[in-house]
Amino acid sequence: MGRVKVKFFAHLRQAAGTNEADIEIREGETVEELIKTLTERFGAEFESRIKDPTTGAFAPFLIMVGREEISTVRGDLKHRLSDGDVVSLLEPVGGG
Amino acid sequence: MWTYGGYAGRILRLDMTNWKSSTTPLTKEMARLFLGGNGFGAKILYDEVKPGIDPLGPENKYVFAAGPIQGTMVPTAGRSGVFTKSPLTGYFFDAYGGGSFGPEMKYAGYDAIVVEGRSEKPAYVKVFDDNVEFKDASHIWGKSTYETQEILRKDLAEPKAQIACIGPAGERLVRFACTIWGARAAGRGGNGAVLGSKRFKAIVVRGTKDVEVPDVEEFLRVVSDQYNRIKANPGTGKALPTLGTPGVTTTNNQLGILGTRNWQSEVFEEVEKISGEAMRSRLVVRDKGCMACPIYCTKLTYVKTGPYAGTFDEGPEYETIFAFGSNCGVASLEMIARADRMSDELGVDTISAGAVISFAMECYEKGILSKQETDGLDLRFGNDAALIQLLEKIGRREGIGDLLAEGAARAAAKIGKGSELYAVTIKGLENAGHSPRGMKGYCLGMATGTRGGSHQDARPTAERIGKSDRKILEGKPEYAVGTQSATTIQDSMCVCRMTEGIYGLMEITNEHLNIVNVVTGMNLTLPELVDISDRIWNLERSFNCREGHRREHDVQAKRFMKEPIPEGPSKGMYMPPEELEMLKDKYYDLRGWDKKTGIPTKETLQRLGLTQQAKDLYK
Repeated sequence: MGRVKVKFFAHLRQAAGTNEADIEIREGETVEELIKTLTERFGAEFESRIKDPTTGAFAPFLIMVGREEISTVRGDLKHRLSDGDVVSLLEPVGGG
Repeated sequence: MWTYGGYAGRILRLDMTNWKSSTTPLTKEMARLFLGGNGFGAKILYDEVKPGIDPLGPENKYVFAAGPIQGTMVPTAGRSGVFTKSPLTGYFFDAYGGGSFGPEMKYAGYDAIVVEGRSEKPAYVKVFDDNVEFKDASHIWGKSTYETQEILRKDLAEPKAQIACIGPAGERLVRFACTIWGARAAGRGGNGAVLGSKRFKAIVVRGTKDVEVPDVEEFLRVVSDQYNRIKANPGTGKALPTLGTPGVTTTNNQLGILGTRNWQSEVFEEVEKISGEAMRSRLVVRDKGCMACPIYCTKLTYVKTGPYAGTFDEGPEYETIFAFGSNCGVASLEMIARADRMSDELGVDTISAGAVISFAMECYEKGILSKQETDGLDLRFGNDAALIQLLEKIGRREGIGDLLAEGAARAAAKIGKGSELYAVTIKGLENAGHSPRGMKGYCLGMATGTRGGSHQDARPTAERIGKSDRKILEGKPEYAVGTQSATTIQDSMCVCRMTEGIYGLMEITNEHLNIVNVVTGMNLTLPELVDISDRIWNLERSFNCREGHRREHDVQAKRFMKEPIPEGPSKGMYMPPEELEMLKDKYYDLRGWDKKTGIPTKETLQRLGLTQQAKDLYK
């Protein structure tokens, strides 16, 4: 058991309704499992901002665990979290 | 008469010297080989602009061009481009804007409009379908871009006309002056100065013709499918409609790749004050979309309180927030909105304007420019009031503004005293708001790109969102080629970068192909479409090589090759010259370019049908 701090950015912050959240994790919990917890907690609108609702596929974006960059599309989501990690969810967007 | 869909079939020529117009047919060969947009621009300019001419002289030409999709319902088909030899870089340059100008040009019956020569007195041109009239512009010379459009729309009693024009900056030949239509800018490279040099104030276009596609039912099926995927995609369906491009601000800062204080750092400690989230909650009053676009990423803003109260702005976009915000050390979104609005009215590119100001600020803080030399302005980073005053001076070439209106590289060459390091330019173009130090593939793609300091040849997106690991060198030559190929075909179609996640970030895909085929009926194969992209890219490169561009010019800004990022999550990253040279070797191999000179090989040019270019470059 442990806890991680999740920071939200850009439109994910709006969907979560908060800049950050303190989330309890199981031992050995992966980033993918954490995202599942977040979508359950913050609901369908939050999920629609990170996954395509018609395909269920993750949008390509970066999740930072500390300074490590985890990609939703390069098979990194099995990365295991540790107590005290700070997890940042960045914006899935092209353009700019 | 050939019958590809999507094309108007004509090119309009405006001889500003003699106030005469003519039309030439768009040939089937030109459509098939160069598709539109940058392809048309590069073809016309290569054929008609002699090497070595002054970009601000009458021999230069300026081309408005659309692609086959403009005027149809294809998402983002409101976009179009302008093309010229840049007074900043001296090379071929393309710049694009949304809105509705391109479609109106097509409705009037033209795929491209070529502006030539130089008028004796200020002029504007009225194009209503086949009727073309040259008019005295003395009454609008000196007016802002917004005033100009208001006056012309009222005078001509044509509320639906589309107007492209320049502001005071273009008239005064500011080297990064732009062209404005509506409140959209074809921003970069100094095209507004080229129009100013021709004393071409504006063009008013109104058309009543149709843009036809070969199979309407199939067209609607393909377009509906793309529309639905745009709406379902978290980026185009949620992120961009919510915050627009400013949503990227906090993401870049979190990754440690947000240009700050003239790129001395890439972490801005006050980023939350200039974020997309802050803009949405404090300033946004309405969302807006360009013609035929379901994304609605444009944010209309209004400043209610403080020293900039009363400012109404279309934007600012991310690039402008970076340019006038973090990169000038300013944490006031309200000032950024004011500077954005001023830039549009003066008719200057916000990226280059912000960059020359941040350059001047660093020179001032390091004692290279004295307060006397800055006309008494206290140009410390973060001084928002001074920034606004300096922007006005640049747009009107007053005092120190006259020097900075030359662009950072030329200004540094005049100032000397080591200031060259602080001119963060690539091929003479001020760097856009994405970090070459923090994204290796993007860095290589910029260095080898046609435009230099632009984020529109190679793209940062795939590295920023993790499709490609931004920190490693492996695969980066392929990344540079792939993203450049995708942007080249997008710019010949003239679709907006906001849809790059739909079309494909790192290569040309069937999405590009399906749209091109359903609009034109060309029945191209994917390899044939890739060839069109390669042909255009090599034609642009040939234009530049004919101007003297060689391998040694494919480099990054000095700062990015010399100084590692000093702090934050990307601390230590930079592009040492030897690393860049190694990547270039592989890149040239992939491109079919001579490794010694950087010129496309004769075989590459001949394979793509660029036989004249082969003759010119291998005399």
